[in-house]
Amino acid sequence: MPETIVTPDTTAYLWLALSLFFLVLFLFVASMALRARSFRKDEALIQQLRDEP
Amino acid sequence: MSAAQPLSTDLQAAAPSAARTRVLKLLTVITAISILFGVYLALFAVGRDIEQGDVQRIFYLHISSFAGAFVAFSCTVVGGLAYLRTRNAKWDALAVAGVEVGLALALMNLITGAVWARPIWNTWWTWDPRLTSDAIMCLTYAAYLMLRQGIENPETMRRFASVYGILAFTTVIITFIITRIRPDTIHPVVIGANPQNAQGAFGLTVSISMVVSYNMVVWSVLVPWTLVWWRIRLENMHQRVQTLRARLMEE
Repeated sequence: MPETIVTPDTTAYLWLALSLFFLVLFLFVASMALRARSFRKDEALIQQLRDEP
Repeated sequence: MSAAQPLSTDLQAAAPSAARTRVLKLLTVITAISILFGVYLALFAVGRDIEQGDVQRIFYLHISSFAGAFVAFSCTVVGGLAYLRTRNAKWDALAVAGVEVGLALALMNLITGAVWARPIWNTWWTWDPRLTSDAIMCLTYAAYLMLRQGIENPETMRRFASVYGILAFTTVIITFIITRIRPDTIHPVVIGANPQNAQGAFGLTVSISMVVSYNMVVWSVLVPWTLVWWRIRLENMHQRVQTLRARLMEE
């Protein structure tokens, strides 16, 4: 008698893994963007202090 | 305080040129589109695994993100060696960029593996040799970032970080080869012969091989290159602000 394979429904785990995968990527990119913004603000502030008489 | 001075020429030179910024932005767009196309291929171009169901599709990103981490951590080795040889801070920027990008990609690899393991191995985590070595690798590189925060003198910090970054690469090599040298692992090998106890393995058909190859190229070339480039710019910005701050204090 041929063996019957019942494919499990694991779709929810796929979406969970995909969500977490791109969440980590997003958090890393967002952290770089926030740090860059902070450095730009610092640079502008230092320039402003230098411009003061 | 002295009268307003323009930014010195060395600091202006350190600022990124408009042409390079345009190239980086174009590369970022190409990378983003390539990632989305890779996900589309993984979800719709290949069939569902008959034994594992849809969760097997995560393997296309799982193994590719490890390849990306491998490339990024290799940048740290190159940056570390070059810094120790030249003492030029630009190589240290490459090294730290490699660690941050590599760690993010390694975490993505680790998390997707844990989610895949739940329905296939019936557990989120097991102290399998591959999983353990992968976790040690992530912790080793997290410690690298903490080491940098803990040393005040920039020269000392860069020197220590270079040596640490080179030595830490042994954890990457061990993680890569451990499924091939430890017979008791249950972690499957996608490319090459599976260990005798492997659970959740699958065969490589032509369509699966093509999608795996496509995603491997995207995640081991485009993604690390783009992210490392952005992170180097961030490090240069950090160094520029520190230099400006020091000069302001002197004035």
